[in-house]
Amino acid sequence: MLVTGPSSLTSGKPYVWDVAAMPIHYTVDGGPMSMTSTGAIVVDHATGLARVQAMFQTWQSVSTTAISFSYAGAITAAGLSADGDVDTVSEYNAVQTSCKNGTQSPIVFDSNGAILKGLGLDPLIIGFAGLCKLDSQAGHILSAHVLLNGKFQDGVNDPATSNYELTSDEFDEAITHELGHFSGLDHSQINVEVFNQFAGSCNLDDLAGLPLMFPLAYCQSKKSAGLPLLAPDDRAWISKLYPNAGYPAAYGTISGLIYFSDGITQVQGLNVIARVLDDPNTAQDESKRTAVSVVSGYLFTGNPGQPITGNNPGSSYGSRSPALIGYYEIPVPPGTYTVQVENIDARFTGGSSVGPLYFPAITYGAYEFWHHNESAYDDPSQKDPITVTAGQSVSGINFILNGTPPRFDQYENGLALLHPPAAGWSSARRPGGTLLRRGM
Amino acid sequence: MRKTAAGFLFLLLSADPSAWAQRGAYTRPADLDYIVQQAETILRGHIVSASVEPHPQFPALQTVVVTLKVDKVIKGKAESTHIFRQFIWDVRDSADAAGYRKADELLLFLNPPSEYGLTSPVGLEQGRFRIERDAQGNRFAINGRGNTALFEHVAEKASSRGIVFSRQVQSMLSKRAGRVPLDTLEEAVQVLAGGGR
Repeated sequence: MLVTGPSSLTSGKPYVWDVAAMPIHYTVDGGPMSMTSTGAIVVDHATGLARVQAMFQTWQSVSTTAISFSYAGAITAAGLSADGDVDTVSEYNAVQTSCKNGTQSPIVFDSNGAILKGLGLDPLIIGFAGLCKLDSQAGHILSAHVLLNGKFQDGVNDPATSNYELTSDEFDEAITHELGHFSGLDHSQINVEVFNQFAGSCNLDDLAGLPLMFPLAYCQSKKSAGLPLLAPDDRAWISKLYPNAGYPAAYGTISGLIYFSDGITQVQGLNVIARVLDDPNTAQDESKRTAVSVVSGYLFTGNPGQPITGNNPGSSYGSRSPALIGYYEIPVPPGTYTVQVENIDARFTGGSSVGPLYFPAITYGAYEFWHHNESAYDDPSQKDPITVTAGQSVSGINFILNGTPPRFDQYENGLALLHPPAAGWSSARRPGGTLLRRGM
Repeated sequence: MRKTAAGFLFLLLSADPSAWAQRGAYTRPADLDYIVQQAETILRGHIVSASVEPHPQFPALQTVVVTLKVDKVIKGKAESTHIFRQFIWDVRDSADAAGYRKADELLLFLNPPSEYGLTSPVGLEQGRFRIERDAQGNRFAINGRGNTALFEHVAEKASSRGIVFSRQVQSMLSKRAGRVPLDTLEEAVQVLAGGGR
């Protein structure tokens, strides 16, 4: 998720829509959702609108969230026809202007892919979402937008002309994922083992726990498998970002820090998963189905910058508090859990990234369960259960990874360089290398 | 409790992900042959600069303007310095120039520019390969999806057009993910683009 940075009044908080200003008003393209290249309407406006409303409702229906959405009519913008039909790049620019001004949050139907083509994007794009205007002081999302490529719903599946098709379930699932981004959610990694299965034919335990906010649609659509669209992870995080009065009675929290083997240096960018204990008396694997995750250091910036060369001030997003580098916090329904760490999958880079880092921080020794006697030399498969009750915060669930390379040598004080220097850095020569010291 | 059979591991070899998300986008996966055919320009070079600025005609559309020092052109035409403009819609892409960083070496498969001068890598990060070097200086290429499913069905498609690959390329095409030798990838691209070996 996008996290407030140094310019914010409350650095290190996820950007969210203002709960006090609910519902979130969105406008919708006045034209059809999909039409063929010859202009025949395949999915008309009314049907498209109903589908968009149902997708928003999927998020709003979570019983423990306060997020809500309201259809505010057709898109309006200077230069746009009164029917609100957005067909050209020029009209899309007008709509973007109003979105960037915070005037509206539009859902654009690119009914035949013409806008994407004008934007220099290819027909492989099913849809995209983005945040238009932020209040960096308050940490609020003020407006956002979504574009849907109706070409995937035009009934034509002709790879020779790059005209691909998705089922309506697959398409709606993809766009509901985009509405998760619209709401402020980022990607999530749980049951990444699905990559070891047939694409489009994942087992139901994995699929049930697979977040809708997983970076890619690899499995069959959840609806076609008779499963709810949102996994426990999706429901937990939309509720944590937008808790309603029922949230405290429905969730507790597990939190802690991830350390390298030295036990003092925090690790950012590892995936932490809380899985409910499996019940051996059922046919289902509950540990796969009910799991919630977060990435360590998710509130810390992915790019702190550096002052040496003067050309990298760092990202404007994310906290600079060293205490948050390896911190994680997971909202979980009451129950008994195991907690584990793992690497973010190497495939999840850039736009598919999970957590604050652009490239996954592949860390040796990252795969480990938590137990009471964590050390750099423990059995990583040993796991102790953690029971969480509603409203309870279980903290101090800290990991020490095994076998990670040392950060400092025997002549250095490992604690000394954990905090950013108050004064400027300077270098001092000594045989064998250059030391960076502070406050000299 | 059910255990996933270990034998499932090999099934990844036939995996065909249906859609990738990237910085707020969902894209259909594309294989190397599609990427080559769709691209108007394929080139390798180093990034000289990447700056975020509004589109000159449509000021509400944010773009990243990337300047490359071109080292090799495999398809299409490009001068020694190539500049392209890509539409970006996510605030994080605006903050980090969509991940284009000065001095990075890339192999890019670029869509034909639109009438508004905008282009993008084919399949977004699928057509954008970064070049890595190992300790011996050997160069490898990997796209923004870890080359996952990049070579699916490429051999069959090429065979149907009478294309015969070298042994090195055939070996590369059997990979399901992960970085591949740059020279071998470029050889495959050249052949698929119709340039022969």
